[in-house]
Amino acid sequence: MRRWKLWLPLLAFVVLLGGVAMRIGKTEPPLPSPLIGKPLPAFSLALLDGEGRLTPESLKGRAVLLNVFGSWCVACVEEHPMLLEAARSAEIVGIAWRDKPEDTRAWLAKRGNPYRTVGLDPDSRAALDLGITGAPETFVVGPDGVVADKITGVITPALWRSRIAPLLERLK
Amino acid sequence: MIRRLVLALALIFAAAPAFAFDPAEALKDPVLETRARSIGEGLRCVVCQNQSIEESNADLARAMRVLVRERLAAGDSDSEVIGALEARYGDFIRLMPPLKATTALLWAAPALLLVGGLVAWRRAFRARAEAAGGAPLPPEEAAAQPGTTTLAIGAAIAVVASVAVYALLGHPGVADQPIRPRLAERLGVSEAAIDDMQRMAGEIETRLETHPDDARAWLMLGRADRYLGRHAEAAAALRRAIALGEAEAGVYADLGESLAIRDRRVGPEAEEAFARALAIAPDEPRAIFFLGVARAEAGDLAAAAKIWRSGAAMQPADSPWRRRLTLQADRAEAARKP
Repeated sequence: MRRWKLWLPLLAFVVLLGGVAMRIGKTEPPLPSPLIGKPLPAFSLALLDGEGRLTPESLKGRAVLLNVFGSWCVACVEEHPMLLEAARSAEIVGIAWRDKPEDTRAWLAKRGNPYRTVGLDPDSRAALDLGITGAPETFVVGPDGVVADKITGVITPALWRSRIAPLLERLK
Repeated sequence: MIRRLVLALALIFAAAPAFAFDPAEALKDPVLETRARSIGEGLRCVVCQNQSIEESNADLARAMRVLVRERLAAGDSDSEVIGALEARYGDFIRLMPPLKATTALLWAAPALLLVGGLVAWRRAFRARAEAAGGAPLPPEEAAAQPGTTTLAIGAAIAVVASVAVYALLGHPGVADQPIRPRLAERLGVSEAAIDDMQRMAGEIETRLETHPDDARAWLMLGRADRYLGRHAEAAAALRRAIALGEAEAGVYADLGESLAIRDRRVGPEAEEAFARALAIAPDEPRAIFFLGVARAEAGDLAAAAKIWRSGAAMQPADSPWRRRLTLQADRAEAARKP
């Protein structure tokens, strides 16, 4: 056996250590939702304001962003200006998850309301059907009611420009 | 030796995983409830990721437990319930990944690594044997080397033993919370009270993310952290509270005490906090107590006794602190005499 081969285990260890060091502290990118390419699962939610229910059928006919948020959610505050901006060119429908209607109303009154309609999901019914793991999460839904994409976490301006706006344009 | 092993095993099995389960959620039918639990133990809490939904306190895990039970009560089979959640969350929802094309490498990896390792070992063995003699080993030595059969049997035993141990002890979802029952016992409160306090601390932290200048919230966070025994965090929060205006003697005393517990001694930071407490309220008992401790730690028992004695005199006649400080002073003076 050649001498240099003795160093191979150490080298392998250093490479492994390097790999671990690079990944440490970083969160795994979220797995793609299995709902992509499938119709929205059935749900029926009371509306924050007005009569009727928020259902997948009520969204059909237009490309929409379905945004899950909560007045308790810190990251949603961060996302909010982007949604207000996006609402000028896109239709956004909100699901107020695990929230009291009065809290949602106060939150929207304070920060501005980017949503055409807001459905209420106080006990996580729709959230479980949609495979929600936290807030905010956003579905891009086509006019046919099929999920085209899902964004886990905050919609950043970069994400909006590169991924969501072009997709919405294509779906229209 | 054997007895110790048995004891160790008994202790391992006694450490049952903590269940986050609320009895109010349980199904009346014990058969269905058992099925619900076994399904829940295989489902990942998507908030905490390495706990099963049966173990997690997260609201979403609770909602999933309820969903599992509702579907079972409605007559779904176990695989229908798991399948429904899998359709929404993907394979990720299962703590045990299913064997399919995308996970084949994951499942095959241990066997591949084992075979690869054996091959590498054999080759190294041969190379060494050849280098040693320049020729194959004489028969009697070759017989002493482990042959392929021995290696294969050894490897098979290792695999079977690993699987057996894992089957007995392994539970990919287990995430015990040993601190919780211990804390509850130390504080003499229920584990639910600990949860409440942790939840409260979490809520305050959320508020502070949007209102970082809320002195009152920092103070509450600091006190919650102290209650939960997290003194390093408590000290940081109390400092913020003081900087933002909650500069009262009691807060300084809390800060000093947490610093002292964090450092396991009355260090200069803690001493400064206690000095400030005394500057505001000269009779603050904890400041007196710990400043005396600081002098005693430094070896100056005379100074410690003096601080405790004069401090005791400032306390109300019937207060426990008066007795405690007097006792400290008496002990310090007794220790000074040879």
